[in-house]
Amino acid sequence: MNEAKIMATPMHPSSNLDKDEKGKDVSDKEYRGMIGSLLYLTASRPDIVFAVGLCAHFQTAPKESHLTAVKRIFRYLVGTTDLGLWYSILWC
Amino acid sequence: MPETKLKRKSTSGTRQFLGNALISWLCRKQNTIALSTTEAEYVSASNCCSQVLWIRNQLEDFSIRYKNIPILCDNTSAINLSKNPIQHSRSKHIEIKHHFIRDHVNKKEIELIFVDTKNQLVDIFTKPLVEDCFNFIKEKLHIIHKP
Repeated sequence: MNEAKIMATPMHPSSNLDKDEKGKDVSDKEYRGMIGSLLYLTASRPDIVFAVGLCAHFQTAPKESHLTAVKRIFRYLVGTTDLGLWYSILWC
Repeated sequence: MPETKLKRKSTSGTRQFLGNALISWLCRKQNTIALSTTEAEYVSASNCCSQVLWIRNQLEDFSIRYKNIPILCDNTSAINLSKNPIQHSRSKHIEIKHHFIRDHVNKKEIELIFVDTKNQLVDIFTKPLVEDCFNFIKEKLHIIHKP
């Protein structure tokens, strides 16, 4: 994943994820693992909360289209590893 | 807040600032189906209100007292609904619990202020955004690269 093409946003602006019942199944164990790690990360990265939350809806029956969406979040994260919330001492 | 096709429920997004610092945020699918955008906004304003009141109570322990805490909302009719107890046909069904925001507006503990969509920072929690908008909000929330 380190060599993946970097994305500027965690989610496509016009993405329209749905259940995608006809899509190809992917391993739900793996999918849940990814969502779990991402949910943990949302504690310090509010910018991905929405994308992760939406992908988390599909944990019961993850399809290839959902996995692609999750991978996009990772591609966004690869390019923004040094991002964080900033609290200035000047604000006190 | 936009509704997802999934079950047609809207997403509530709220974030609370203390001064300039982002101290709390929430992104959650609403548990009722909203019939209008006003209703969806009203429900999220009410969610936000409860969080704000909690923070207010916490700060009281440190002798920091706030009055008229502003809540920014991008829907004028939702704001009017919180000020004016008129029941009309489009809002009469909204669950009573969400009207508790009115009570607190009356007591001048909080106030609802209009903000245009461009400066509505919670959009990052409720919809996928284009790059420019996304980066603009990120900066406003002080999510920045390590200096």
